[in-house]
Amino acid sequence: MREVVVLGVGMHKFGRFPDETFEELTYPAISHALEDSGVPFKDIEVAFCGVVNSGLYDSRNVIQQFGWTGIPIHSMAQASGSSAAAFRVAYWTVASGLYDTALIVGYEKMARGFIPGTVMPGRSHLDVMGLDPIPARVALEMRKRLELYEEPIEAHAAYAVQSSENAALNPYAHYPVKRTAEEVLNSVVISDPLRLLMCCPTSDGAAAAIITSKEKAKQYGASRAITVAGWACGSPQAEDLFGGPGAFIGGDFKGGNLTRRMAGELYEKAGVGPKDIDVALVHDPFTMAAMVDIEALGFCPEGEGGRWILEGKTRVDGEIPINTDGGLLCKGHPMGPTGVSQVAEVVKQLRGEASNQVPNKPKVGLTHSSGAGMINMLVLKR
Amino acid sequence: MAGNAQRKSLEPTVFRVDDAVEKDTLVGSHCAKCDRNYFPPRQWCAACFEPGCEEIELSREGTLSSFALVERKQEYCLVEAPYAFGEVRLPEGMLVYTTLNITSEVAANGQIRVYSTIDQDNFNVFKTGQRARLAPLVIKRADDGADIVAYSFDIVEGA
Repeated sequence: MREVVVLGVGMHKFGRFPDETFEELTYPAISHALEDSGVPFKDIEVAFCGVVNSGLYDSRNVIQQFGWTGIPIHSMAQASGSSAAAFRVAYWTVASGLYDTALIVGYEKMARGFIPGTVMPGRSHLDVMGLDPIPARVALEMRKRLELYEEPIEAHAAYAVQSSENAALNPYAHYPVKRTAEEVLNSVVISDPLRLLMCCPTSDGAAAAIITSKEKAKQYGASRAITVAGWACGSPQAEDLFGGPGAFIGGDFKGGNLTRRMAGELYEKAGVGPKDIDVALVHDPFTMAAMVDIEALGFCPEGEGGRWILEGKTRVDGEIPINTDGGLLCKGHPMGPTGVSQVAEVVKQLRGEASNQVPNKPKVGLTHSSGAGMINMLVLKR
Repeated sequence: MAGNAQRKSLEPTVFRVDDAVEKDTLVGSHCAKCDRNYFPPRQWCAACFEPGCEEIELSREGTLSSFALVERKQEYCLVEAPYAFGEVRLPEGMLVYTTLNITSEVAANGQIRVYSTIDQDNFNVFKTGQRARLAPLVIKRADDGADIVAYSFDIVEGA
């Protein structure tokens, strides 16, 4: 496999844009990524879209608004990890030498309210019996953490505050609004002990990236290229399920077993360890997920995630800065583009161009995406 | 039994109803090769990939491993909100998502139960580690008059 670099990234603000079409949502993301990379659209040899709720022709319209170049266009749906999966497959095609230059774009328009926890809402007995809401499933795991680790609820508030402060500096964030711990702890109960401001919003938005081989990058101004130094992906094994309730569990929030296993693979491939990571973008649809993630990624001991966050170790100037763009929690979580938006933030951080820059010139970044209980991770290097 | 209405399971693949309520049972499966148990039941073992897992009847009592209060229900949900959502670990090893009930009254024959409405005030009766017992709920009435029954769990008081 040959070396692959990210040459350009672009975003459409996350938020609510009921009147925008998919073409309108993706236009700024893709055009900024093209401009950022210096790659003309005619040089894109293959395109991958990440989207969950899409129509028959959307992926074609989204790409072909820039030209009918006849390239293969793919669309991947993997819930919250759709564009992270699309990025990884695009990476495979370039790393293997099948293509030189690929475009990845995630986009989505979402309804307000809970994301249903089953495949066909209203058709499964779990739906009818009230057992599908994801926030309720998360609340079960949150209660276990609070009891087992004696994790203070204030840690969840501290994480939400930290994320809001990061989002306030991100022009693409859905909620660029600073919160206080009191606001978080007094926000409406969604599913006791989980409160509204401990949950991400559903959003609309788009994010794009352009990758190419290290060799080919020389044509386009490779000085700003960021190297893909490692990748890992996988679905749960039987042991990851904790004995059940089986595939009805979506995310990896039940202890982070899959993330822990994937992180081992990722660090080995990239030749780094958790202490080498200067900035990490982790899957945090709920405050609790950030704690599970930083433990499973090896940044802190199991059960210490909440206390680490309370001590400020995950802040932009902390020991391991996470979700410097506000994370899913405050930047927003449109599912389709979420994974590529993480790549975009890490690329900006490693170039020193982030709106909420990690100090001391970060060299190594990590992205961690979870979708439908499957993981996609990357190590990116300057 | 209360009345003469016929009882039908909402989802017979995971929950089987009997003429006698106390014989209703959750359906799991067992892998004879590696001795693992599953709920919901599987045909192929997830761990050793052996086909031909056998159906088993699961224990009617387990331990409450966690619980949450659901304040709002989805439109297609037949359980009224607020309701208690729990996870029960069965002796066979698996975790089962379920609704949880607080029994306020049990008739002499043990088969007619009156439930309290669950809200923020009485929600604090739940504690992790409590014993929970299978307690089927009539979730709707079918067009033919049959009671459609779903599994649910009661907290065993004083346990």
